Amino acid sequence: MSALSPTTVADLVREVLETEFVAPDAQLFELDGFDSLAIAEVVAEIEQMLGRRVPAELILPENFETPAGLARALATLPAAGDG
Amino acid sequence: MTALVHERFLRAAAAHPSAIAVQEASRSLTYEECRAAALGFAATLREELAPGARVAFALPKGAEAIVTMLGTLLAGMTYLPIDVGAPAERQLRILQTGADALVCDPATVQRLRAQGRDAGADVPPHLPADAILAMADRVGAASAPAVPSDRLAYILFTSGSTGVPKGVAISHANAAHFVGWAIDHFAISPTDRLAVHAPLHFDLPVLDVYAGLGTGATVCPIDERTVLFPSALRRFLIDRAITILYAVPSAWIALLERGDLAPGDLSLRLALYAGEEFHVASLARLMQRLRGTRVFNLYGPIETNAITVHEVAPGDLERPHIPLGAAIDGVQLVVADETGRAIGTPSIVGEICVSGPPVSPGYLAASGLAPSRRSVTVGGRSVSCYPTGDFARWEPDGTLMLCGRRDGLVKTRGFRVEIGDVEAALMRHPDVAQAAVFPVDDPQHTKVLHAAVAARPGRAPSAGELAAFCRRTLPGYMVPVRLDLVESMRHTSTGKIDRNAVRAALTPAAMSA
Repeated sequence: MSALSPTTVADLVREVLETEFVAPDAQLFELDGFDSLAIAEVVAEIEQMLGRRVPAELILPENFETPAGLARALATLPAAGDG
Repeated sequence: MTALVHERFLRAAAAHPSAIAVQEASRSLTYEECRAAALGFAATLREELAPGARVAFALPKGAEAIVTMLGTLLAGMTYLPIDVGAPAERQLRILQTGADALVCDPATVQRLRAQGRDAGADVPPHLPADAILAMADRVGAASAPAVPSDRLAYILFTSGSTGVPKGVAISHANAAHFVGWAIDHFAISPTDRLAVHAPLHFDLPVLDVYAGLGTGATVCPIDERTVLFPSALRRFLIDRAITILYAVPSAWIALLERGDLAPGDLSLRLALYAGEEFHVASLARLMQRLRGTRVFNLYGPIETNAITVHEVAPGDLERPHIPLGAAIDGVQLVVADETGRAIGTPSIVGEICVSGPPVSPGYLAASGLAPSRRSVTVGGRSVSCYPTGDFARWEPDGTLMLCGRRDGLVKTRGFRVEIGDVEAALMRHPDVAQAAVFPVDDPQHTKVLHAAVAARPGRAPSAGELAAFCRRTLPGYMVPVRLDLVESMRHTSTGKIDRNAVRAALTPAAMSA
C-alpha cells in the first residue's frame, strides 16, 4: 500500500499554498490559490514522496475535496514497483 | 448589416425551439426555454434600469450566466462579467467602474458588501441569481426593442499597468462582426456541441456562446472544478460528445500530459486555441492524439477578439513557430515600424496594428471611453489603428509570425498580465519598499511570474506572507509562483528598477527571457 497520512497531505498542501495551516478536513476548493497550478504541484509532490506516478483516473475533483479524502484515494494505489 | 448576436439567437430559437441550447450536468434548457428566460429577464431589467445601463454578474459558468448575458443584450444594456474566483477586493474595483446592478448569489453579495464597507464603496443593487431562470413566466411583457449597433454589448476587464483593472468596451457591432465570421469560417451548425472552457470574463467564450446559440447548436459550459482537472475534462468531452473545444494552450497541454488522452478518445471536429503561443513539440503530440480533428490558431488582443486565424497543417509542425496566420474577413492588419509606416517586406519586425469593425471603441474612463489609437501610414494614406503591443513580421507566404510583446505585458496560462499590476499589488503591503516582477519561460504556461521584493528598513515579511497577501488581492494567475526577498534593488541611470540586474542576481540558471 502507498500510505500518506491525512496530516502529511494537509502539510503538503500548506507548503504548496505557502499558507499558515491546512487541516486534514479543510475544504480544498475553498482555499485561496487552490488552482490548476497548485493541484499540479500537489500531485508532483505526492509523486515524489511515493516514488511513482499518480494515475490520471485518480486526479479528479471528487478525490480533492479534502486532504483526508485525497489520502484515502491514494491509499487505493498499489505500492511502488507493483505496476 | 451583420445580425447582432442576440438577434441571431432569437432567429435560431425560432427555427429550433425544442433543440437543447444549454446543457449542464443535471439540467438543460431548450432554445424555447432559454429564449423565454432571456426575454423575461430583459423585461425585468427594462423596468428597473435605463437603456444602456451596466449589469455586472459574478456567476459560475452555466445557464444563469448565459441567460443573464442574453437578457442584458436583449434589454439594450451592457453586461460586465466578473471573475467569480477573484478576491472580493478585485471584484469591488470592477464594480466601482460603474455597474448599475449585480447578478450573483447571496453569499457573494454579502462578501462584497463587507468588503465595500471597509473600502467605503457601495455595491450596486443585487439581482439574485436563482431568480434569473424563473422570469420566463413574464414573457408576455417582453418584446425586444431594436438595439443600435454602436451600443456597448459587454465590457471585459483586463490587467491594468497601474494596478486598476482596465475595462475594455465591446460594441454590438464589434461582437457581431467576430461572431458572424466565426459561424461562417468554422461552418458551425445545429449538430455542433460547443464546450465553454474559458471563464466568461475572457473573450474566448464569446465564440462558444454566441456562435453556438446563433446557429441552433448546443452549448455545454464546463463547471469550474472540471476545468481544474485534466482527466475530468477528458471525461466531460467524451460524455458530452463535444465537437468544438476552444481553449488556451496551457489547458490543451494539461489535457495531453495529465488527461491520459488516447487517439480516438474524442469526437472533436475542431480544436481551437488562442491566448498564447503553442510550442510546436507539444502541439505535434496533441495532434497525434486528435486524428481527424482540424486545429486552428486564433490570435487577437481582448480589444479586438480574434483578428487572425491559421489552420495548423502537418507541415507547420516542422517550423520553429506556428504562424498567427492571415487577417480574418473585414479586418485590416498592418505591421508598423517605429516611424509609423506600414512594413510590406517580409522578415522585418514591427508592431501589429489593426483597423476595421472588431476594434473596441475604447477603455472605460471617467470621461466616457478612452480609445487607444496609433496613426499608421499605409500606401501614402494615414490609417487610425489599434496598436496591439505585439510585435510580428510577415512571412514570405503572407502569414503573420509573432515575435514578442511590448515591455511590461506578459501572457501566462493564456491570461494577459501587466507586470505593473502585480508590482502595484506587492507595493500595497506595508512592509514592502520595492517590488520587481519578471516573466520566466515555462514550457506549459508560456511564462510564469517571479518577484523580487525589497523590504522597508527593519521589516522582514516572509515570502509565504507576501504570496498570501497577493492572493487576497489578485486573481490566482497573477500571483508570482516565486518570491525572493532581496537586500536592495539595482537601478538604471534613469532611476527605474534595473530588472535585468535584479533578475541576474537571482539564481541565474533558472532565468531566461
